[in-house]
Amino acid sequence: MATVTKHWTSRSAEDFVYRISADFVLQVEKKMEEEGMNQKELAGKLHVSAGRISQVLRNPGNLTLKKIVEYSRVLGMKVSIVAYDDGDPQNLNGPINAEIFNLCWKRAGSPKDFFALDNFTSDVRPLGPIYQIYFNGYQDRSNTEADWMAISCDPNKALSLSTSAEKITRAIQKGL
Amino acid sequence: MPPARTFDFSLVAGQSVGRRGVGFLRSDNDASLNGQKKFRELKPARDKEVRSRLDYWIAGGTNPRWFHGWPDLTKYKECFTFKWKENRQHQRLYGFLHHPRRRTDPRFLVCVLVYHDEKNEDETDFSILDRLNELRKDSLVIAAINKAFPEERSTKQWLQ
Repeated sequence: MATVTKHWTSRSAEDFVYRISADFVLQVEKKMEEEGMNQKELAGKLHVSAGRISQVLRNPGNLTLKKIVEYSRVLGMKVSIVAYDDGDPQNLNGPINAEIFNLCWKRAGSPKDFFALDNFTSDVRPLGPIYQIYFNGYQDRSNTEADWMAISCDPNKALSLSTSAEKITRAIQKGL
Repeated sequence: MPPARTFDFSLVAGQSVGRRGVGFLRSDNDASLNGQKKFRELKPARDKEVRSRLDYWIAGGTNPRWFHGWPDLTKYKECFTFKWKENRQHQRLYGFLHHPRRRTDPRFLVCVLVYHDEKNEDETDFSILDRLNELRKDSLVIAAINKAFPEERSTKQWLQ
């Protein structure tokens, strides 16, 4: 029987920091690729040596928030710190990858403020766990907050979720 | 008479939920299945680096610089490798992909890591992939992996 143990980022705060820093570095590297920027050019913009950039990209565990902001800004990006509850208080699964939050935000139309959320969220109401499980597919069996958020960030999926919820309600009523 | 071959599969701690998992196959009779040994001996910084890459694959990410398969080569399309660099040396963990819950959770995919090797040339060493192909078809290997992933009651049943 598969034993579910805690994720490695539960070993220490340093391990957790490493993982989320690694997620950040991957975003930096992807942006550098998009911009056609090499490590030397990034070093020039940050007024540090190319060796330092290489070191940070290879071992991001010591990144400070200030450095994260500096790296982001020279690449034309911004940073937010997102605290979230993904229904995994024991950290069995590790952190949600930062790219997922970013993709959700883009799929939601890149809202700039709370007002921009109004049109969108009015159609999306959390349903019971049964609907979430159904929507995620029986093979997933995931009904975590993170999955729910990933779904609810996509208006098209939210629409099909409503349809699925109706179907399943009818199925239950018919005793199927 | 040679001892009976035995295989053991263990998941990487905490990496057993969602749609993907990663674990190691080892054998008491075959020290060449050295992936887990290498993984356990990684220095702390490399350990975190490699685990972050496993996490990224488990989450469904794509990054050929961190890991890749050979989807265009029919013979090796189930083979997979995770990559990192240590002391300026390219390191590889080689394994294969397997669906352990074909009946109740056919989408669930596990990467069964088997061999560690240092890579010195650009070209893939297909002899390792050939050995992986032999292993992944071995009934004892399949039984060892599937033992860690018992078929579960489907949610469809649960809903009913």
